[in-house]
Amino acid sequence: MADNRIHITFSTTAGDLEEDFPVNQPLQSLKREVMARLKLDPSQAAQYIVVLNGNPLDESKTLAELHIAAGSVLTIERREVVKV
Amino acid sequence: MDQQTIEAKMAAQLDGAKGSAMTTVFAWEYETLGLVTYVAMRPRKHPERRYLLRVSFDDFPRRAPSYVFVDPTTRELKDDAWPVGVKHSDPLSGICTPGTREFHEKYHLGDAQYPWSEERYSFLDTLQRIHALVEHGSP
Repeated sequence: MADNRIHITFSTTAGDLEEDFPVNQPLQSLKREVMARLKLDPSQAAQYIVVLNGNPLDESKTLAELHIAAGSVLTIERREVVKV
Repeated sequence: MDQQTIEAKMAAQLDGAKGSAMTTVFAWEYETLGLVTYVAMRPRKHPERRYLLRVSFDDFPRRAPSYVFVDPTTRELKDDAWPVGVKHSDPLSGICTPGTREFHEKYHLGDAQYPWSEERYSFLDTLQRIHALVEHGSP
């Protein structure tokens, strides 16, 4: 971890983003940033959760507070599992 | 649409999914035979459970692909091949989520909220929706 950044991947159905991300930024703001860069509407961010190893993460916490390891792949998935 | 074009468009969808980190995260395994792709799925919290999804791209992209779960060994349609809570049975077996042929042509036929679109409902997007349903039914 150099310069308070960590190399991880965010994966969405619109694409992946692999780079160094700040460890002290709340996950919810990282999620919005990633969604915008991957052309997913960030105003819909509340409809998505960030998941690691099948477990939804507390998005009010930072990557450091969540003890995210370098090389991790975090998926941004739809919050609701709706059978319509 | 001719067979070559259908195969090319199907291949583009498969490449998009196979190239996604989600394929590694969800441990999806693919096998393609003609216009049919089989995708093995395992709930992340129950990797000992293995389900086999059969995706048929015939007439794609004019029509959405058809998605059904089949027996992982015989690859035949069987009730117990379906994950709990995933099968919609009225009027035929299928998965009631956007991106599936069964959703757009049966369960939500004519629903203006969900018009079929290959761009809006990519193969990868639909796989992720179905995987979520599989895990939702596997607490």
